Amino acid sequence: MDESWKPIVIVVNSDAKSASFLSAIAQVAVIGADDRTFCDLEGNLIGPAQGLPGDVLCFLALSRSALEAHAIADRLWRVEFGVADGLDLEDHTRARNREAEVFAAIARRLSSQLRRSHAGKTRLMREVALLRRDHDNMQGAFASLEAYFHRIVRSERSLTMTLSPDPGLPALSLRPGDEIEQRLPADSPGLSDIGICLRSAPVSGAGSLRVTLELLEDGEAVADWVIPAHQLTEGWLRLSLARALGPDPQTAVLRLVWEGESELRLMPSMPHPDPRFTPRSGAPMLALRLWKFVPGTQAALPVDGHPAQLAPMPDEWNIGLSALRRAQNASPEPGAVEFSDLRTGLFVRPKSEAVAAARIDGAGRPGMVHIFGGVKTEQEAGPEVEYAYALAPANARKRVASHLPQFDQGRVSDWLRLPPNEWRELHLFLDQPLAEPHDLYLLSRVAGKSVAPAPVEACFFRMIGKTAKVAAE
Amino acid sequence: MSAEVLSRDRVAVVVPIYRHSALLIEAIESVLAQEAEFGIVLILVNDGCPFAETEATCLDYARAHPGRVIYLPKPNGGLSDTRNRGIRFALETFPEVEAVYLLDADNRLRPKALARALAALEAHPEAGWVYPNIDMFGQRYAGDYGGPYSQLLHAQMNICEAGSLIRRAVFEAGVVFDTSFRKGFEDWEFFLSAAAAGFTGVNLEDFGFLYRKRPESMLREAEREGAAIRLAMREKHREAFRPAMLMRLEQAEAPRFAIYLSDRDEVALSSDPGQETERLSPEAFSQRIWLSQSDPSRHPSPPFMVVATEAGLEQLEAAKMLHWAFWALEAAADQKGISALLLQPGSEGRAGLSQSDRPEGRQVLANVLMIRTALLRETLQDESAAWINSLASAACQPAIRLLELNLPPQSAPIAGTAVFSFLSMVQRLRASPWRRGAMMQLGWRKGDIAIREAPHLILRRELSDGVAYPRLRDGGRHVGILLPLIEFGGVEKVALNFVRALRSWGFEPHLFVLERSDAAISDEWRALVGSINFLADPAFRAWGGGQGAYLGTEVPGWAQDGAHGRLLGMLHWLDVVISFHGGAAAGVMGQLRRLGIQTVSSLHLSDLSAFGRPVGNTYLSAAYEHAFDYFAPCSHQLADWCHAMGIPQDKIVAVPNAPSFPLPAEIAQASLRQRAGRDPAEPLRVMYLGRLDAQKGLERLAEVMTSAEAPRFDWRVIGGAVMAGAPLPAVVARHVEPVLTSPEELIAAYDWADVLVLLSGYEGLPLTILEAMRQGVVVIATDVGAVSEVLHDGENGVLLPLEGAVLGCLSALDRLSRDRALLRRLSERARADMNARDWVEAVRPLAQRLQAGFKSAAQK
Repeated sequence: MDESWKPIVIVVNSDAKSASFLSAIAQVAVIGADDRTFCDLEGNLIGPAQGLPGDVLCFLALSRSALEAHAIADRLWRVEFGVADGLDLEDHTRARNREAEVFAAIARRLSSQLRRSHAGKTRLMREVALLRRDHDNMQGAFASLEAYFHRIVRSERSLTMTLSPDPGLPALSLRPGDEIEQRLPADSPGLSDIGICLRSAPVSGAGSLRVTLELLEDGEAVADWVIPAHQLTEGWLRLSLARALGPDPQTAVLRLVWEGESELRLMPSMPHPDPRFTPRSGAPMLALRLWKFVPGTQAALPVDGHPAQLAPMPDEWNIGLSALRRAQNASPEPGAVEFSDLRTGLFVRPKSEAVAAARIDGAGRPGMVHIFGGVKTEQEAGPEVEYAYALAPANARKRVASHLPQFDQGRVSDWLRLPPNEWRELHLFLDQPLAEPHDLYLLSRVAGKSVAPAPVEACFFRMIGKTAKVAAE
Repeated sequence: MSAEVLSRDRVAVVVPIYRHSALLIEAIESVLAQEAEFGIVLILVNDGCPFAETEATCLDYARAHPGRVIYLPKPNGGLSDTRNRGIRFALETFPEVEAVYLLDADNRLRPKALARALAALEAHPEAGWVYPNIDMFGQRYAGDYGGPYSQLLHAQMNICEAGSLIRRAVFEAGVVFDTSFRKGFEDWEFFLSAAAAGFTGVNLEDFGFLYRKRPESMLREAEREGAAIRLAMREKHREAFRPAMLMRLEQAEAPRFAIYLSDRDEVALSSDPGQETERLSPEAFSQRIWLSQSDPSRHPSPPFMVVATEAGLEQLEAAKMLHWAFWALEAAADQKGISALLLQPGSEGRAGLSQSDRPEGRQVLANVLMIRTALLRETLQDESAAWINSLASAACQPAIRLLELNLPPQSAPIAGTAVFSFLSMVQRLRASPWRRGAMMQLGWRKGDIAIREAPHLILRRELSDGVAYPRLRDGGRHVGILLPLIEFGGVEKVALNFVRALRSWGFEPHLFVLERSDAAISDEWRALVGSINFLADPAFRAWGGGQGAYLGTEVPGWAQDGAHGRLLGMLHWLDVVISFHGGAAAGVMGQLRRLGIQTVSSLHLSDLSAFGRPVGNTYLSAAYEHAFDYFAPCSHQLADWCHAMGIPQDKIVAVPNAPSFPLPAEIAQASLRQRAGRDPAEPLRVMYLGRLDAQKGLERLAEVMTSAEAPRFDWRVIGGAVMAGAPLPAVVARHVEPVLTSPEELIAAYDWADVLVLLSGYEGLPLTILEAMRQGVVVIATDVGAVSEVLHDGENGVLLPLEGAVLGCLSALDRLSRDRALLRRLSERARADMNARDWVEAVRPLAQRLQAGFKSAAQK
């Protein structure tokens, strides 16, 4: 409240001088000759902007003529301002010790207001407490739901929309300093990842691509990514949020600023007649992928996603369907590795005790100490199969002559032997957190020295990679 | 910007409060949280809320934010009164406030909403207000109200939420909330008033306005009372719903036709094909089509596509049938999806059309093609173009109605390329780079302006859902001449003369043929009228099918129970409609009057039933007296009859018949000389000129001709049959000559004749008698209808009672043959009596009454 605020006391003109003693504690408002306007003792108009009638405490009558004026003012209060009880009267026409009595009367009124205000505030504080308690309970329930999801459902962000790249259209070129804006073709609730597609890596590795996700209606940027140019490769660039956007629906826009030294070329998808969705006049829409999750909740970051700036380093990573889909065959047998939409898993099919392997580039993120996931031989009958995980640095790919690199001590899990059609969880515990990005190898072989009549349907499902912070959980 | 300017209050937010004591805080906080580089003053107007909490909350905030939050209590007066109070206070108290935002006490704003909205108002100086999309919380929903503002659409649905930022100028123009709207939609009414005052709105897509939606609310109550509120709105904004206004708005905001002119490779957008319009390249048009496909609620496209050549349209215009052609094609496309028009030179003096739903390949020759855009869009989504391409073959798969229109024979043939041009355009559209993208709905809000896809239906609603004739009012005085058919009858001749006279009084007449699809449209008709139109409604019948009668005349079924929309739609744009014995057309006259059109019944004669009882248009018009502004009988006698039948005198404006063509003075003199120089020893030249049907007493004529034959009498019988009937008597048939249509031919015929014989059973006031008398031909006629008004027995002709007419006629012929002095005396008196008879003067009283009607309407 403004320090200068005072309640208003209304007097008639003839009482104005007598009432001036009140100026210390109240604003004296004198009724004008028209019985409708009011002025302070200096003659300045007092109206609703100055608190009339809300701040009026009472009508103070110090002389008999004031009592007649009160009747008129009372009517004004009822008719013009809709105050059912009218304008209270403080009749001190017969007061002996006028100043003291008037002060006392005003003090009584103010005390009464103060008591009501206290009661109101107490009630409000009680309501806040109730709401806070409800909020705590709801947050707790939500956290439980999140934890359940992460544990049981192996939370996977859902790919909800793909605007496929069209190689037949010219790429959208960004020169150094260029900025473009792509409105996303989806509402914001649950948005968790955005993918854009690069035609090629920039020639120069210097500089960076800055991407901002903004919500138009709030006018706020909700996430920023800065990707160094040397990390940009041909293909999809996935930008991930640690927490999916909340349930409040708004228009999401992606703003890209290229701060590199050479040209950056982005893949287009299709032209669209609505200019709101074109990143540049006449240009087609960008090729896009959009993922969503439960609005406002956290899900393990995908290993192929770039976390936003200022987001806390993730404690766990999702090595999910998008990673499994891009797994490469590291076996000598062509076709040994195949992603299955039906099984939502990756087949790594051994024929004998020779290891069949799939490689997921970069799935071992720095900080990981524990990787686990489901495995199963997806057939009713057949030989037993052994499963294992292994990690090798990304640069090991180039040195490898055979299909598998040499795995360091502590970078390979124990072999897990399974009969057909039985699901189990496979774990790889690292004695030291990974210091740099590693490739993850998914290994399978037929147990014993038998040879299967056909490649066995050994299947790896989505995995979680945990850091030391949460690995104990 | 200076600190002073930055800090001044540029926006006032008015929050009317009644019973939202608890939720109010969220609204207040959202205003206090506004991020803007200008001052915002918040005015809380307590509408006499009975909850003490409301005042307590308002006072706390006012005291906590003095000068920024102002509390204004008032007696309960309703939402409109409360908003007005707050607005008035804001504008009077804060002279620097540029705009007022109205926030309901249970709604919220996002932090940048007002800054963004004021910026939008600045960016659109032509806009009176900025309105939001409606993002709902509570019960979640997001409605898209984007796209160009349209007053046409706004009259049909509330597209502007009260939560709009409104420029001060709107209120200063006197626009306020109507306090009589207490049950809801008061914001809709407010914006209609603002539009009527000349202001428009602009949508701000990312406004940041949040609407609290609950299952029970004032809006819900309003929806329950919806019908009554809409009626009140229509009453108050009657002008906004007038067809002329709706047509004008349609032209400006949502043109009905996209006209691809294949010879210019351009697309013209217009509702009125005769008006200058927006023109687009095919590429720009393609983008519009695809834009509309991707989001029809935001992006309009004309509901019909037309393919033609500019030359073809010019030919239609020259034939005075351009607007009618578009109207007829639209009606056909409505039913079939596709319609086509084939133009071909017709017979001399005739115009007509035929329609077929099985063109069997003839559609390929069409000059104009029209397709519903909705159907076009469906075909563009087809995997294969085979279905639509079959339009170019005899085995045409799409349903199509082909109209074949006969133009004047001198019309140059125009190659029919419409189908091929259309298919070429379809191919272009299908090959468009926009096609794939446009199939995807990318916006996340739900488009809530469904009517943007079919704005042409708005005007139709005012016309009993009839197709609205695509013509704008242009300030001229347009008069519709309604005739059931046009052949060579007297009523048609009278109508033609009416038209000529109306033109001289500054009216522009238009011809409407109601019952036939073929008519005798002479060059003179074509020259005198502004347009030629055929109703071509197989359901319309001037007579028949009725269930009841008035004064013995059947009230036609179509008049009482027919689907009037088609005719209403055809006539809505006129200022005056004159029915020339239009029969069942009387049934729409009341509706036309309610549209502000002056209605006139032109009356000529009563028909006779099979038993000789008078019936017909005279009685039917009396039945519909309430629906006609004026009655224009062709004679004073008929005028007296009208009054006697209960038509108020003030409504009766006689337009006495006059000769149907002018007789130049020199020709009149030559005719006089020629007649004076005739040899009295020559046979008496006797002529019948007129229709050869039962009305005309042909059996009596035959009897006379049999007895009064050569060498004393020389006969000519000139005329044609209009209606099928009994065969002509042999003696009559032997003398029949073809119909004469041109004034020159008629003058020559009257010059030849000494006597004209007309022994009709019933008549009005035949033009033949007047024309004959004007050239000094002595008329022998039966005393029927108003003949006695001009023909006075023994003074200027021979008037015979119907009973005994044959003997009377023979006697008169004998007398005249023998007494050429009598012949001469009667001839001279006949000529003198007809001298002053003139159509222009005859029409004057009616023209003056109609013009007075325009002035009176303009003053209202």
